[in-house]
Amino acid sequence: MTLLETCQWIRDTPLSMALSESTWGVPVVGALHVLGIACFGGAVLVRSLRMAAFRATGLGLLLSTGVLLFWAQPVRCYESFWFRIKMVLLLMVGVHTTLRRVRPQGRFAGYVSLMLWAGIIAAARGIAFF
Amino acid sequence: MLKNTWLFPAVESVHLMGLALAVGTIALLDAGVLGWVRLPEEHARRLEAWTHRGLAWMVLTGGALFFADASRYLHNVAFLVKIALLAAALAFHFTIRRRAEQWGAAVSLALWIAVVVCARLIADFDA
Repeated sequence: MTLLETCQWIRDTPLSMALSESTWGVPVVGALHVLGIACFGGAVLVRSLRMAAFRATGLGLLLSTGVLLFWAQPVRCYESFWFRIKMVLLLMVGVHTTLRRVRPQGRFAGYVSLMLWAGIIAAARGIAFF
Repeated sequence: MLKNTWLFPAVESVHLMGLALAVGTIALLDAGVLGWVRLPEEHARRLEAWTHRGLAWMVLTGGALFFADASRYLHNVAFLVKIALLAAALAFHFTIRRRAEQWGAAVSLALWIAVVVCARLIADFDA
């Protein structure tokens, strides 16, 4: 199954059809996704173990609603140039964060992380507009 | 600004980064007051500086976005509700919330969540 065929299969699942056909499905999930950004944004700034639960909540909200938003419009995402950029940036931030865990780096690594998150937000807006 | 296809999404991106900073740090501080997370004192003060930076970004970019298409927003229910809630949230933020009482943190969180939800719904409420 190619990537496109996978996306078409997702589009034909009952959940995908229910989400994209309902009036409130995508707006509500989208609103929760932006709330996830707000929740996660503060936690990204503070690297403290005490904040781990708060950060995990925000990240969990972002990832779960993000998957649902993709699930609602998989073929549109497949065709979107900016969606691909966003996924590459997400992968990069994942690798970057894992490497920092293994061997803590200095201030510069922190700026790289912030720039990656900023890029992810900009790419996400690109999905909606282009 | 609408004529340039790049400008609107670019400004909106900065608006969202401001949101992540401002509402993110407010939520974190409120969660601290409510006892959901333990915030060291020096962190709290640094976070407040980021709140103000984020708010400044949001107001500046928000103004630009509004004036790019003012009549659209003035006829949008979600936008009008958002502005009313935003005024309440800002007024609350700089007055009552300062006392750092638990009910104040809870009201602050609820107000900001409502502002963010209404903001996102603007796109879905175009007539």
